[in-house]
Amino acid sequence: MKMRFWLRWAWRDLRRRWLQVIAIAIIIALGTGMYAGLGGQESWRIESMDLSYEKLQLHDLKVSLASGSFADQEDMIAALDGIEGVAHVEPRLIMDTLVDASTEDQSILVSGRVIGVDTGAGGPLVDRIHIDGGRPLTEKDTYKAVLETKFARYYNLEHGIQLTLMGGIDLDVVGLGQSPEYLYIMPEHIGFAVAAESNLAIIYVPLPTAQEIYQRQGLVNDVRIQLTEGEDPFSVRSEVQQRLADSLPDISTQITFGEDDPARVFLYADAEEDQEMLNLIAIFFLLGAALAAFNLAGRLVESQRREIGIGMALGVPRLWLAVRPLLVGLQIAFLGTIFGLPLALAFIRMFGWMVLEFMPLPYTAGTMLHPPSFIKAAALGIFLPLLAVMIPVWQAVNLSPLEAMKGHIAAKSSGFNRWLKGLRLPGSSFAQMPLRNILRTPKRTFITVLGISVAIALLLLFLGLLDTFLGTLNQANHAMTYRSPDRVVITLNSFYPTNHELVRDIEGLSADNDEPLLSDTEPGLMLGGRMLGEAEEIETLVEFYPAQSNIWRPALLEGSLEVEGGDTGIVISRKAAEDLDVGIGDTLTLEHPYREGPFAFRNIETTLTISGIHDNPLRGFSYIVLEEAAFTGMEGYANILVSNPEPSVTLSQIQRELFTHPAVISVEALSNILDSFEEVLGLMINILRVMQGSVLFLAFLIAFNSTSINIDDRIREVATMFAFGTRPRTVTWTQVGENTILGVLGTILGSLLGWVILNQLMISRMEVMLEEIELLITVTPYSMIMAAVLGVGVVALTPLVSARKLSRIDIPSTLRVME
Amino acid sequence: MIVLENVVKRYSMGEVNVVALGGVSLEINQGEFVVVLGTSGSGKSTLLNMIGALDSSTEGHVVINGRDITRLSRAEKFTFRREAISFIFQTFNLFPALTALENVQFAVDLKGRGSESNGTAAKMLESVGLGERMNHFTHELSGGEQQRVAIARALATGNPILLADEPTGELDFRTGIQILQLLESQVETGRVVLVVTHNREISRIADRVIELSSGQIVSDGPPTGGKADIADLHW
Repeated sequence: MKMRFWLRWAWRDLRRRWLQVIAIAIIIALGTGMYAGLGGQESWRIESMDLSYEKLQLHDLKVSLASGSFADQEDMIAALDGIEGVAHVEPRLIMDTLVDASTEDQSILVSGRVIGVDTGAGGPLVDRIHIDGGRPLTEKDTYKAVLETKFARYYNLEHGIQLTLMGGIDLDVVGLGQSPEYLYIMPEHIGFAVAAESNLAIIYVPLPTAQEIYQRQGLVNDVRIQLTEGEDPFSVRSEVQQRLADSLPDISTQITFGEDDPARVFLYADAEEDQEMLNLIAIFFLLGAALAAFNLAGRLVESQRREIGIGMALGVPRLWLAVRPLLVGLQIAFLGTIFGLPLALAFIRMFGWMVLEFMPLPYTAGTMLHPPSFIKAAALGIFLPLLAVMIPVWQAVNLSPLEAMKGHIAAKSSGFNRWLKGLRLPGSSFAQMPLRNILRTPKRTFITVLGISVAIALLLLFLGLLDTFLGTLNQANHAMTYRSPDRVVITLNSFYPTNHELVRDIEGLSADNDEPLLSDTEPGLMLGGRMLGEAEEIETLVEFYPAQSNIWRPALLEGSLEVEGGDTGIVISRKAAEDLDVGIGDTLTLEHPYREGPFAFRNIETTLTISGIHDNPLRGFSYIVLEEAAFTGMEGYANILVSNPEPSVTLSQIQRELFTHPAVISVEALSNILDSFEEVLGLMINILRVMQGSVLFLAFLIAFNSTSINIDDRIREVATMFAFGTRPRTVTWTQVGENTILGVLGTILGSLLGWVILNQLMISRMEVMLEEIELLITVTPYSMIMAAVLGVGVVALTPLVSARKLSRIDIPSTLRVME
Repeated sequence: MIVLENVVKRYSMGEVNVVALGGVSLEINQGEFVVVLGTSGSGKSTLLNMIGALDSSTEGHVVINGRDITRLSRAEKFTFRREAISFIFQTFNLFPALTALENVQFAVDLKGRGSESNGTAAKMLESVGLGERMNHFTHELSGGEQQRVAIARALATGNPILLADEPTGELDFRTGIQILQLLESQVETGRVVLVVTHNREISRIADRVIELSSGQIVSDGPPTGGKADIADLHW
């Protein structure tokens, strides 16, 4: 027979069930669209980042002087002069400060970082600044600044505003811009990815302006080096290291590669890690679509079973008989793939927009559509429904003609109903029907429940991820603030003796009306360092706190705050202990700065004994008693003050009072750090929220299809009920009852499935992806209830959508009264 | 009890207009056992649909128990069927998810007599000889048993009009006879029993035979040769 004949017949099959076909095509489209839309994120982001780093001339090497150290600009340039392979050297002066960026509408007092850059010859030429608004800095500019774009955008600031730095220094913002090392803003020494765009203002100024502001005329503390094309950075680094050791023997320097720039590393890793997660999500969508397609296709074929039997009786080859249902499957698959293309483009646009909202890049690659992802998704989208059709087709054509002609397989058995034989369930016969219908067709029920459960599992997975992220943040918040929720950390611009006059000034801080602002103030030290293990090195922020602190001490999961017997003890996080494979009583090596004199520090390694494990899930936090700080050379010194504000005193009040204090560079509430973490997770949280909506839609489509097919399968039963005068709403509510059971079963199975996936995902992937955080896997009761209500609710109420279809049934022809 | 006044039913099938009933008028009284005879396409099923309020006439009136059902709304037709009509179908149309007993209980529940549904349904099944099979699912019953369940379901409504569309069409002779006996016995309870069939032999046991051809009544009266006994039927 001609293929056109079968095509026409298959097309008619499609038209007869067009609504279900459209629904299943949309399900496939959601799967393929999501897969294609999410599949190309990594390549697009990486291409865009490559482009941005290339155009902005990311440094090849960076020389950072130890905290508090400065070197003469000319000496530095001279020390690095003539090194083979070095194309360009640019010194910088980078100083942390407090910034007042308040406008008429809002009070903005934040930490800031002033970066003095070489503006000669259109510079900076290394780590260039991409101007997003206004104009670049010129050599002639004094007390002019370019403000980092993300910070400005966060607070809706435009160029043309004026910033005031600590000490009352005003800067005119002439432009907004981004440079490579701050494409993602990560405060140094925190040891983990913290987006600080809202609480860290990066301010680029001409180098002489920076030196003048900080009275470091002729001094720098950072150098950027660009190598000639093809030069090996490792060999140049050795040469640079040697030159600096010879020229600046008293100053500890750290030389890092541009490729190891924390923001760059984070962004590339994030793109890859996000992609892994998005792939998982997309695959689940495809799985859901495949199951839904399987459901529909299986039923389509079952409905054709009688015709297949007639065909077999007439001697039509089995292969030909299989063509028609296979063509239906193929047509559905193609339709789904065609629908999938615009959906893919829509998802690409939406997720691309989200990425740029959270991580704006100065340059983006042309297209976000990743053809390999779409082709892979389209192939899957076509293959899966086809596979779904093949199985029941194979079963049908392998029956004897007589068996096949008996028609619908479901009507030939009572399924699991035989278990209920003789058992009278409560309620009328209408009340019996939902459960009985479900039990009568266990295979169909199982496939439908599986389809719903995939949607619910996805929903629970997304809700669980959100809960886990937010729950972990809450635990971190609790760990940091449990005894003093309003605790503020005042960071000093250097290391001061704890009895220094400037420190005492702060302790006695009072408002204009002489009312004290701070109730308790204690000195402390905050040092960045690295815990060195055999297999791993962990960035850490070590806080030294007074042993008898009245304000705050870390809460311990196990161990104690100090080591008995005189050894210096350190309290580390559980995650750090696990990753370093150490426990209480073990020792670890801490690499940390050692103070050799004013403005002179070098990094040394000290072996410490682990005295306790604290309850903060953020890996990078460690704690040591201040009285044991001798090993840092900073005994009796402080670079932070920890304070509790007086009741009713706000952070902003304290910031304003300390803004002009010569020793203070930042005043922050502990909660700010956690705000930053929320920003890190913001992109994923937003994507997850979009996913939730899509998943609900998927659940609805699966439920709609299931209900719609149920009605088709039972159309004569429905018509019979109508013939006896059963009200349409009674029939609809029977369907609602049936769907409620399906929804409950799907939700239970989906919740279990979701929990397993969540745990597996967290355990296997998140530990790698978010290595700085010990994720506390959580699904809140709210999420459970929401998944249950939505899962059961959406599925249960779907028959209401089909109520109109029910009311339009042609009773006589359905009953075949006219024969 | 049932009055049809010049009932016309026209269907539009593409560009062709089909007249299924071409001005049918008749009157059926309480307690009558009426057989409507006709070949395929004669309009007999359409007539049944009109009386059962499953379909609306294009012209004319259908009056049941003094109530013109021709222009009832869809919702009113549902109520009317629930209160006045019971159907028996050629292909039984039982609910496969329910047992025989539950299928009959469905009809009792429909009438809002849920509290007595179990007892009434069981009695009905016993009256059709299925007392021992009431907890079986429909696919576990023979064709005749299924049709008896369908009759029990129809009777359980207690409605005064019983409409049967080819009730023996799917059954063998012996089982068909049993079904006809059941239907005939319903006349004694005062019900109208209207059987649509193409089987002329069945019409021999009717009180009245209405023969349709091309949507017109061609004859209406007692069976030719007088009412026969069921035992005398052969086909």
